Amino acid sequence: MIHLAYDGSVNGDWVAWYALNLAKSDPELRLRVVSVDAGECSATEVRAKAETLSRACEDAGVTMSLDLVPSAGANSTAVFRALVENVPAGPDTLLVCGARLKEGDRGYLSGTVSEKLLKDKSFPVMAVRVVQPGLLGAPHRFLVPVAGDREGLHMGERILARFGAVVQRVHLLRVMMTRRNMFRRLLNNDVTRLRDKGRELMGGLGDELARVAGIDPWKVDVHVTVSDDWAHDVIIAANRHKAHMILMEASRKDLHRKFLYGNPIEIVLRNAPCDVAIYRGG
Amino acid sequence: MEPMRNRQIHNLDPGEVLRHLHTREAGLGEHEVRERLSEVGPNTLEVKHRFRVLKNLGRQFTNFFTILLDISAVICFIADHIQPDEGMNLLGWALLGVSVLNALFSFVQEYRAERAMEELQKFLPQRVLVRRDGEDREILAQDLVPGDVLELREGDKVPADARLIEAQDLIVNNAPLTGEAKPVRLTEAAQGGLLTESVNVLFAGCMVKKGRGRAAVFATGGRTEFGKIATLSHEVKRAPSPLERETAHMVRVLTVIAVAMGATFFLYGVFTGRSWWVNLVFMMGIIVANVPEGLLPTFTLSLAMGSLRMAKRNVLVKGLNAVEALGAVHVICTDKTGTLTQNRMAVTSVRDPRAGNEAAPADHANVLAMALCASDGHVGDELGGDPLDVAIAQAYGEAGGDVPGANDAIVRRFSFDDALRRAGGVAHGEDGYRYCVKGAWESLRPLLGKISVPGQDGPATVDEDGLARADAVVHRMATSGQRVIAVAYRDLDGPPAADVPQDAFEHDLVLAGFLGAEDPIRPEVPGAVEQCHAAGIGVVMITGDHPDTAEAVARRVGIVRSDIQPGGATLTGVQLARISKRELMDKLQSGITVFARTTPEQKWKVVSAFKELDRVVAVTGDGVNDAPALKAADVGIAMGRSGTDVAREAAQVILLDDNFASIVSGVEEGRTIFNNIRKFTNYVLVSNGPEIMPYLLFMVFPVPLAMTVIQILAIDLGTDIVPSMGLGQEKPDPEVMRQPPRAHDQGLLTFPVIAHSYLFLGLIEAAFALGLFFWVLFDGGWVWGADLATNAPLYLSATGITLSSIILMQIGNLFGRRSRTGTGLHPDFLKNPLIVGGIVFEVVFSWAILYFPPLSRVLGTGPVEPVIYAVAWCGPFLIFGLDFARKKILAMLRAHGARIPQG
Repeated sequence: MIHLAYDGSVNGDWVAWYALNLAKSDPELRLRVVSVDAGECSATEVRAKAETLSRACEDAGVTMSLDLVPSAGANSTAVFRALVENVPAGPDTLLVCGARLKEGDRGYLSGTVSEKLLKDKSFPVMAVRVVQPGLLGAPHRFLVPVAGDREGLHMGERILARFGAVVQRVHLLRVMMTRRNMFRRLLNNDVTRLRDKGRELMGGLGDELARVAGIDPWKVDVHVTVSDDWAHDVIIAANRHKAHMILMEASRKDLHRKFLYGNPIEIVLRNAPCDVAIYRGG
Repeated sequence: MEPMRNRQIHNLDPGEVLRHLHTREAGLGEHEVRERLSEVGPNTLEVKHRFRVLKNLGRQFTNFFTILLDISAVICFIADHIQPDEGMNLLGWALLGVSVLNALFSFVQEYRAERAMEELQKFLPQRVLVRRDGEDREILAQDLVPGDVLELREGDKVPADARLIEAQDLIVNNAPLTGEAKPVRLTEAAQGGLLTESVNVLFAGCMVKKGRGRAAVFATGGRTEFGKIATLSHEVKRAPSPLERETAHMVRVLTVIAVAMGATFFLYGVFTGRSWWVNLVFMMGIIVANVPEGLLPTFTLSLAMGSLRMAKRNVLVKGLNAVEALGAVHVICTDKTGTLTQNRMAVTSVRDPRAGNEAAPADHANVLAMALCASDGHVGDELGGDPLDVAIAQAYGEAGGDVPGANDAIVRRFSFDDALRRAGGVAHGEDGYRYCVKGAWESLRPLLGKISVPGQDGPATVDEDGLARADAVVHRMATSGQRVIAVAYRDLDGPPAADVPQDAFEHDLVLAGFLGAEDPIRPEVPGAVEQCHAAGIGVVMITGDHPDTAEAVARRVGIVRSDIQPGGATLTGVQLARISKRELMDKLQSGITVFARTTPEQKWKVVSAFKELDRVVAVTGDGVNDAPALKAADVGIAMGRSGTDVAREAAQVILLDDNFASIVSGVEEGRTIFNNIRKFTNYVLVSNGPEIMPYLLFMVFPVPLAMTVIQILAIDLGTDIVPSMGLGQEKPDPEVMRQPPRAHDQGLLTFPVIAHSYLFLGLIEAAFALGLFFWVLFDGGWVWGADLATNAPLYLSATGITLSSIILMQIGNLFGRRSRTGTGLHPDFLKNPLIVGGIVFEVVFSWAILYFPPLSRVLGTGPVEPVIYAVAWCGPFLIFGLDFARKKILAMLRAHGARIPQG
């Protein structure tokens, strides 16, 4: 079942389209909206806004329910606890939440409720930053950067499967990293060697993703680039392929490291030309 | 309509748009604007990078190339400190100057990339009219947020991507995004298909040509389609060119050799008990001897002069490295219109409607006269109007017709109707009034009553056979790439009334013939394509045109071979969209050379597939939307005449005449430049051998030092420079365009080049020069192991003849380098003033260092017996002869099947 962590913000409204579209492809056809009362938005406002979403759900044949959950405090830890306590644990749950920069915060994930939810292993989480509200949560073209191991990509494959029939193109991207000072010195043969290694690492991944996500294999393209700047290459690729969404894994290693301003995931979240969804790999 | 679950903003009915964007008719409130602004940021293309300029500048000053020049300069300053009054500090400043200039030059080249962004910014408005809090307000465009309700009128630039909710006769020019200059009529109605192709969306960077509209913003800044083009034009780092990589590699190798050798002998000196200071000085001497100080400035000069030669051939190169990069290309991806063709319409055939033969001269003029009657061209000092009408008027004039007279005879005109796909007119001639019509064959076919038959007095009544024959003629003409225009007429009984509608004339028409119109190919293009193929360069056409037209042109210019079946070498944009990059790579390898009906994004897909195949790719482009592909290619080529400023700024090369043949000239020049760089690199490295050897001997044996640091620099930064530049200006070898492109691993500094320079020619020069050095010493009474003061006349004479003989031998080396397999003595060297000047300079200098006291004092040299100087003149012949013998032996061995690398 799809759950939406809703905070009443405009970002929350935009993220709600994703939750709705994912609920449409869920066998249960149900969307549960969980709003933690952290004092940012009044319960009346949340109810009024949820009414709009409820109408959209009705049109789409999805049953929506709204749960206003009290919180022990206004800080992110209290909100996180309230959510974990009120969303059923297990692999069949998918919690959709926003990734947004709050006043005074340094990052889109760093220190946020979304970061805590991603770290927690109670249920799968998809944190979304929406910058293209016109897509209405219905992306057709995806960029999937592959940075970790194959296991880490499995969750991404399952999320893509939920978008299923609307997927027009998936671009799998592997960025072969070199140190900055080395990158400038690479000879053509070095670049070719690194690219071949990248292709080897990506071998069969495209077909596997197409199979698991139920997409025609020709819709999946595999790209390998050699770079000294991972985030830059991901952003350029998103522009190049006119991606509607970057579906990106936050590896277990990333999640146990503090998200800082220079963290590649934060850079992608900040500068991406399209919506970005982060999930926990593995 | 897309299914419900797929809906994006363009799929919605206008009434739903505002609700889905969480906005309303009265617009957003201030609080909402602030909230959204903090979510998505300002509506601007600029991505602020802190310290970007400083970082770029710092990078230029810290690359190996610059550091090596700086080290050379420091060595000169130290040498000046040790031996003052020898002008070493001047050389140091000169090297430092070259280093700074080089770094600044590269910085300016990179900084120019910023200008592409400036040009893009011009497509966006400064201020816009929006509705907020129920009021119309003019605000800064950068303050727009998703959900804002925009008001746009004729002449307005669109500031962000927005979904129309109301449109009144709204026509926009989407050329910056699509490259298609034809205006697009927009509507507020829901659309299916892709958002980027939707006619209910206003795109940032485009312009309202007519009408007015109200729209809700849904993407701003870098998230708009225009913003994506801007990012790709600005943020993509161009990969270093093959020459940049090779130069950096060469500098690293030479530096490592120099420093390793210097450090080894420094340690050797320390262990053999010499003082630290002496060891340090000699270590620097070895480093100076190993570093070809003049090579890098010669590189820059050679490329700069190459760029001037290219400019004379209509190829303007913006970055010096692109000069050589053009020569390395394996594939040229070219546009069709304007590059392969002349970008004008011309009537190239007039066919009879039965057999499809070229019409007889009288019929030819007659059909053209009828077509002219159905035209709307202006006739004044110059022809104007629709390109096809102008082409018809020109053809009629060329056929001997009186164009102004024919125009004056027209009494009614019916302009071209998009829906009917034809235009008409009534003319008054000697035989009375005649209605003439021209247009698409499909639109005239049902209106025919008769068909003209060549050689018969009157037309034949139309029947199935006649129509089938006409169909066949049209099909043949269309598949040959021509635009087919059917021409028909009907004689009228009398003058037409002013209010008779067009359809009243359109029955029982007589089909007079077919006009074939096309954009003629540039006459020099087929030859240029053939040259490319001979040079192992693939040519691929990427166009938005119809596949038949594209393939027909490609066949005529030679891009598609005549033995390939129709359609066998063509892929359409639709097919391209449905294959993965891997499949595209397979198709490219199997011989697909024409891409038709493609979008600018697909151009990048083709380029990137070629790059994955390890091909060096040059791409042409002219539109704003071509900028990303121009930036992504190894060599981006923009059109000088028809190109947009954005394309020109994103490209490295600008074709001043938009002509494909000029690209081929550029390739030839680029290849020549690489060959010439190899020649002078080889030439310069040879003198390193005799420069190093004296230091090795001095460290190991009890002998005087045969060459001082200032003498080494006199060669590296003095006598070697002009001949090197001369080699850099050698004319293209006739074979250069009959060879395949150089391989990726064919570098400048390969092991064969090092072995040839240092271990063969370098050793010959060193042995001969040191032989003369010891001859002078022993002849002057020096005994093995004896100390000799550095100001002793005998020492000055001995070092003088060493220096003089090396300089003379470089003349022999110079001729040897002019040809890889021949003698290099072809008299065309007399046409190269730098070679002639370099030789004269070397001869005069070799004499002056011995016999011209002011120069001798500066260089620490002295005179020798004339007979010894005369023997030194044997040096150039010796080195030239031995090198020629080597070439012959290698040629013989290769002829016998030995695999010897070219080096």
